[in-house]
Amino acid sequence: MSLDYIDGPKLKKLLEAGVETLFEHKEEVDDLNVFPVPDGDTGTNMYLTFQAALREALKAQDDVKSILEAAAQGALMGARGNSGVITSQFFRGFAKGVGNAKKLGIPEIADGIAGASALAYQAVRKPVEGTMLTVVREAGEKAKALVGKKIKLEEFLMTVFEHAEVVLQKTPEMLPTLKQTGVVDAGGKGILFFFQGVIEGYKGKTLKRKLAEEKSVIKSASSYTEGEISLVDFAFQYCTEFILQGKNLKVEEIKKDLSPHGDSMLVVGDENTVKIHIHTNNPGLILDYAVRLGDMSEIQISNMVEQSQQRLEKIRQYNNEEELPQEVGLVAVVPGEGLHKIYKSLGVAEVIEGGQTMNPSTEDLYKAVTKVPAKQVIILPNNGNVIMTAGQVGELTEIPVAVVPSKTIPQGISALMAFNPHEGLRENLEAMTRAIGNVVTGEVTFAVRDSQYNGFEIKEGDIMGLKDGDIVCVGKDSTQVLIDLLKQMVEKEDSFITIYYGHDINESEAQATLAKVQDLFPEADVELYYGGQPLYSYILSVE
Amino acid sequence: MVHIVTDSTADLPKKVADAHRISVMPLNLHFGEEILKDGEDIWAEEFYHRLSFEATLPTTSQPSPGEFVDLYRRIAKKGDTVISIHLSEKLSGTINSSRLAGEMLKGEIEVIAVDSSFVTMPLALVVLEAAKAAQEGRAVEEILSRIEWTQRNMAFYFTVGSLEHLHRTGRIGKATTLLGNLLSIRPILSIKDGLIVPVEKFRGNSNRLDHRFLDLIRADLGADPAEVFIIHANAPDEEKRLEETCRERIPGVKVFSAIAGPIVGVHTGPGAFGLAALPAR
Repeated sequence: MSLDYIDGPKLKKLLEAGVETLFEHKEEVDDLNVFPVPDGDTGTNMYLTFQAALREALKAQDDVKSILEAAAQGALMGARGNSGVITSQFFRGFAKGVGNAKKLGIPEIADGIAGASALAYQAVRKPVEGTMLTVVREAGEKAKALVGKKIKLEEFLMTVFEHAEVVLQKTPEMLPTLKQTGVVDAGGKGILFFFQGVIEGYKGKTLKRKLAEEKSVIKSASSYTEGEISLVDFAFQYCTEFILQGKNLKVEEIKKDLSPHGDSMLVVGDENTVKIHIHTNNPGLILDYAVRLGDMSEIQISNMVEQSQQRLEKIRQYNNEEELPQEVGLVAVVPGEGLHKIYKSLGVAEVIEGGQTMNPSTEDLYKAVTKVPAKQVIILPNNGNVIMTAGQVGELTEIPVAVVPSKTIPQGISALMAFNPHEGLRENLEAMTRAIGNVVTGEVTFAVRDSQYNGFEIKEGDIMGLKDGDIVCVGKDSTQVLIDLLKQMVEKEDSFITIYYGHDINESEAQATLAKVQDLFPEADVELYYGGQPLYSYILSVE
Repeated sequence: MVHIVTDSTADLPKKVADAHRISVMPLNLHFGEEILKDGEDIWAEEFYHRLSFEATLPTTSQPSPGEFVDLYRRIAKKGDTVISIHLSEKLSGTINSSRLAGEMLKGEIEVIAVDSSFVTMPLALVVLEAAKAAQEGRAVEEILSRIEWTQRNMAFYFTVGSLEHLHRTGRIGKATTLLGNLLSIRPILSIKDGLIVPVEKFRGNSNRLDHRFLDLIRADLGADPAEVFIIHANAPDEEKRLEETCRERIPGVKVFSAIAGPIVGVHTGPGAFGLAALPAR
């Protein structure tokens, strides 16, 4: 029964079989997408392109040339995404390669695949090996080599397919981005699914679905490659959808009855069939209403809040997975849990507790540096007494270690703002050291003993204000001292003031202080954060 | 005759495009099974509204070469020239579809595909320069040199509500992160050599951010701009405030603004805003 060539009617069937197999596997192909290639869903896009080709092909006359030309035209119009555009060139090239042949035998198919490869290579400005281009080119070369051999068409197709499979498995070796993720090229895989379907069709597999007529139903598995997610509060939580069949259904009436129960409502159809879509908090009520009007089918109720959370979770996971070992890592000496968190949030890998009262040892710093997953490390000592100790760490480690001479917590934060993970150690060291100069530091603490300084008579327990390490005001109340200190620090009206309140200040006290500062400096931008540092009621910066 | 074509990621208001006889090729927005043509089947306002309740996350795709062939044939006669200016090739394959269409029309219509190396407002400014030159009846070479001048002198800075969107759709390098962001730091971004790049991390309130944008623009141009072009992804409050800041700071400045359409919105997420300017000639 098996003809050893493909004629027009057979060709249409094979195209259909190929597209069906691609459809069945398009989510697998989507999941092969390599981040961060800016090409959404390869499988879905290829399927849509193939489907457009098939639709036109089925409309064409029953001769090979018309079918191939119609398919090429369909693919050209329906091409989606980069993979789709390349696919459309495969179709054009295949049609061109086959030329005026009336039947597709081994030589014609070989010419077709070779033609597909040639045109696609022309279409891409900088062809990249290790992609679908390579797979099709190799398939074409194999096919050409088989021309004239005494084999059946089925064996020919299988041999070419198997070779293409082998090439696909090698794509990770050709493309570093594939190797990193440990996947084969998505476009190549898509083409092979199509090819697989064609072969199965040739062997007589029957079709399950009428693809060309069907509206493309796409349920993408790889939602993490897709667009927007927003943490909206859903006013209506359940997306409820179904088809209602009955007699004398009144679309307008249904709309009116349902609209008080939700939003995003869609009621379309005629008096026999109505499709209903609504976001509601009570799907039961909607179904109860509908069941009185007729028969329901394809009922789908989904919890949008849950979906949205799952999606967000997936995105987060995906974003975290991609963390590569950094070029330059950071270590900082920081007092207080609040400041620890802030420093961590700014990209510091290892935070060591310490500061004014407790200076870490070289060994403490060394241990922290060895924990950082980076090729080079920068230390932020954030204290004049730690800078020297930090300087010794580099002598103990195998990797280069540099010290940014930050003497205060705000200086460290300014330095972090200038940190650029794209740059190397030296560039970062320079930029971060320069950034230290952008900030004036204030500290509010208490005297541990009686003393005299800068003309101040200081008693044990007095509150002192320090500007860049110098005592500039003394008082009995920490908020008052903070304000006196700020008056000496703020030079421009529209300064940017950041206040980190310490362990001994509670939140309401801190908020009251913030309000006073805002009153006093109405033009300034003032931010308040919990630092949790011991001994220092307030640490502040003015920029 | 010379025709100017761009794509919907230029975010050109329809009135402006029509007034300058610019033809706009829509990119596609996919909401699950639904495929919508940007600016034809869906508009910015509707898009941002849908975004707030849709369970499906949208994606985008470039127009097909065939759609370009149809567009070029519709607007141009045999022997005409089309200058087709598109978003950066490093962000989308749109220009590749345009190039392929051009090859297919060889001998019929001359298609010059230009990679603007930008997207959204800066792309619009490049296209408008070209369209003005075309309307003045300038020769092709002169139009192309105006395009080149505009590309070279563009100052453009923007920020996003969250970098997650650009990360997810692969439009910015993985290394550009702001982690937990406890200090409410915002990224200032720009477009360099066709890619979205981080410029600096910014701390402070929105008003200070506006001023920082204007500082950066002044540094690029060597002077305050006479015209500024604001673009926002459904951030009308930010847009309004930025406009006021511009007017307060630069007396007599002309301010134009536009909303970023669905395609740009998918990648930046809502809340992004920024501004572009060009030096005086």
